[in-house]
Amino acid sequence: MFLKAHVRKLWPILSWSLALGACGALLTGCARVHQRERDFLADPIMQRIPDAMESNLESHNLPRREGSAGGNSGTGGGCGC
Amino acid sequence: MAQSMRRIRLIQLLGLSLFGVGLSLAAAEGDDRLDFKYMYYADKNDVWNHTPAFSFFKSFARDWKFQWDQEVDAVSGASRRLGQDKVGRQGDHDLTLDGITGASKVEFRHSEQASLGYANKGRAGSASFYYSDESDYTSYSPAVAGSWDFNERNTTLGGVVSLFLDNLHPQGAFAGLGGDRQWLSATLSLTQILSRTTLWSVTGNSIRSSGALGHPYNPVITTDGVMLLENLPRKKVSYAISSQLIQGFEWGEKRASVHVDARYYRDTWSLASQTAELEYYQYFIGENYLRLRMRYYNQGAAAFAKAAYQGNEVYRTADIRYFKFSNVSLGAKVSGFFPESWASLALLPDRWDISYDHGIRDTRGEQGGPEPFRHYQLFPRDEYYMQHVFMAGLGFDL
Repeated sequence: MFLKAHVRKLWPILSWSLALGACGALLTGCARVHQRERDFLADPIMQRIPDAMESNLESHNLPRREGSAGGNSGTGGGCGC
Repeated sequence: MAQSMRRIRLIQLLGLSLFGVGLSLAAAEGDDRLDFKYMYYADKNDVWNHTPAFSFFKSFARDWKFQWDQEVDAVSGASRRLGQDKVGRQGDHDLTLDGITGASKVEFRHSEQASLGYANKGRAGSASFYYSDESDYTSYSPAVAGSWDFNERNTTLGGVVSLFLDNLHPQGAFAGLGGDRQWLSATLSLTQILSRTTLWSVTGNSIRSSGALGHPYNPVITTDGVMLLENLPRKKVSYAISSQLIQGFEWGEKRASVHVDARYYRDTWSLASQTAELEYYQYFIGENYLRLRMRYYNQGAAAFAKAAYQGNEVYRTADIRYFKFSNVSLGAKVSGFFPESWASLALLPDRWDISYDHGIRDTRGEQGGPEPFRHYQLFPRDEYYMQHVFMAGLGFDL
């Protein structure tokens, strides 16, 4: 019963996770870009976090004003108060 | 007396920062790097935040890298205090403790993080330790991270586990009302190259937190006008999933890219949020680029957040972070490199960036009325207020 209630509550996350995971598994099997073809991908504007320090400062600032911040990096802590 | 102590503390922190920078420069060699960044946040609620920070990177023994980050934070509105705006002996510049809430109006915080990383042939790992300290809060956090490239290095699987051992120890009127809190955060991410110009990633995160998760600085005021302490559940488990798609393309010979991010969050306090972010990067002269950004954030209220409390509720809060609101921010950033000749000269910056974000926050409650936190410096009739973030940085290749 307890588990069922939790699963129902978290269903949106679980369903998204499953869908994205399935997409990821499919994509993993089909993409092949050779290393010498990755010039564009190595560009700073193509990085997942182009500016790590800026990202760290933002992830520190957001918990002071939003209730769902966190989980973006290994740093943080603080009261947020 | 308290003011003098805080000034001495700030001088000590600045001294430590300068010592750190000097040490970093002295030890630098090869492709080592030093980044400075300064962030300023302000909003119409009279909360501001000045944060100078630096990061130092040093490679050694081919596959190893050491990183050291330091931040000094000066933040106002540490307690969204009761009473009128800018009232008091020195208004918002008063560093003494607030007689009502026990928190300082301006607070200094300082943090250090040291990490050691290893990367070789698509396998990487790191261990780090984070420490932060402010007048009423300390945090210690060890973390480990790892990643593995496979599928001919087209796919990367990564994970981070971090533990936070924190302690809240309020001073003044609320001394003794803090306590320990622990967070255990686990993150798993999958990144996939889809084409020569397309990248996709998905990240899942869960945080289990327990202990004294609230703070006494925003007492709840009941419908009868009685002031009661905030009381939050002592456990929370949160889940977040985010996905990012990066698409690159070219306008003539100039490269550009679009980043699309989406995040969904939910926790066991029934607080759910959605975040959507769109970024556009465009090179314009040489390696200088412009970034335009739009961020939308929407959150619902925690299960126990109420517009009006009777006083007999088990859990209660007046913390703005647990109420429904939405926010839209627009921003621009210009970033680039100095002319090549600069880089050969010691101690001159070779990279720079400057950004500005402007946001509007909708603080209306469920029924369109103001929430209990109207007592805390929010201008009572404002349903929207502005927030601004300015950031500037310099990078040095040492």
